Amino acid sequence: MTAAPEKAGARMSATRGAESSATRRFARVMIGFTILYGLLAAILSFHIVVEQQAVRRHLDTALRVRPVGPFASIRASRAVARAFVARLNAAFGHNPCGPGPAFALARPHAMARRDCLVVIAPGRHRLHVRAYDTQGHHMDNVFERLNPPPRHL
Amino acid sequence: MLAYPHINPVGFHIGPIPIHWYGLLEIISFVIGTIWLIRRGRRAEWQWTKEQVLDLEYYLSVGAIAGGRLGYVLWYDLPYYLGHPIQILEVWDGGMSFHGGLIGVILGCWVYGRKHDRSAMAVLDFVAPAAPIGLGLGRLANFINDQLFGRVSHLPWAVIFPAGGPEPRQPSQIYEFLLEGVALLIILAVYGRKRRPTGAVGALFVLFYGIFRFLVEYTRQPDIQLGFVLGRLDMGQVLSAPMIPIGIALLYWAYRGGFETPERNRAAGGSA
Repeated sequence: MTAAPEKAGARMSATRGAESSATRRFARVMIGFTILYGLLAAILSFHIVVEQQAVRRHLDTALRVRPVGPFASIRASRAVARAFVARLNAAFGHNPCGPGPAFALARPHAMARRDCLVVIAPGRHRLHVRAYDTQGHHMDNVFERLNPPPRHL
Repeated sequence: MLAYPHINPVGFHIGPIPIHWYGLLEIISFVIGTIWLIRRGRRAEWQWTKEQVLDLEYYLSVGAIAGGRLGYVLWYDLPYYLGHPIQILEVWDGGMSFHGGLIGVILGCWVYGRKHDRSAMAVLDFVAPAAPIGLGLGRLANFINDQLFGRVSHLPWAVIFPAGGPEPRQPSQIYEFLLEGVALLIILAVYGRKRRPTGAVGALFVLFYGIFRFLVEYTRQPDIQLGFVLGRLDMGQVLSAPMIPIGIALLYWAYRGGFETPERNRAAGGSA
């Protein structure tokens, strides 16, 4: 007489046990995914901050020490810009995002890869400075001047 | 474009002590949230006493502050804080991450739940609808404080923020106030009015916060020390993107009854 309710009770208990172990597995997957994603995001962030810090310092220096015009001609401006780029590259070494120079003399749209690059363009009245962040998007000179990078990390 | 309203960040003085709008709005949101949770706790399906709500808020506050700060250190400026580890403790100097705070709050719910024999997801369901009050008022405080503004824009409602230079910018703090504050509050309050499966309200918070934050970040100026971090995505988007699939997965699991406890089933007459 009591066998049927006992069986039903055992079945319910077994189902609840299976559900609870499935929930535990689900929780473990969620927590594992969150931890792994968080760690990868932290590694990415660390990498980006170091590179971005370098390009911000390059931009800050270029804006502060760029030769002022007006120049006699655009050709004279180009010569000054070329010498300026050479001086900056000698002082700062390589591009923080990879191989190649940190400073270049070019029109921005003419550059194939612009990550972490500071481009110096000749102009009649002054040299134009435009920097590109770690993802190749051009940076805001005004905003950077308002928030200069710290000297050291 | 609109002129920045130049609200004094100091609301008023109590004797020699200046009371900043930021702190004041945080206190106001804390008080409103507490009163709301106490009232919510009186409902038959929750059964939380006033003392339990206040006790829970202690765990949540510790979780939010510790998690928010560690999240900021880890995801926004780790090289700096590795060089200045003592400054990790200087939370009054600013630098908190919502995503770290959320993880801290979830841990707080779990610790509280273990101590008081409640499931972490049930605790999260209880507190989630109150969270947009603090989030929304925090964004208003950001606007008053002239911080965390948007990208350069020439839309008619763009604002010239004094700390952002001469160009008009998106008032992204106001968008965040409207989405993460007002819209999220309405969604969770309406959805949470009826009895839902355990975990569903918390899951909906995770899902909609993820969606709203991901979208608003397209208008927000990325943190200056990071810029964009993954193509056109900034760190806020990188951290918000997984909230969308996680929210969907939690919602699915909640509706499958995965977070139900035997006690709740009994209280509800055996059905979820």
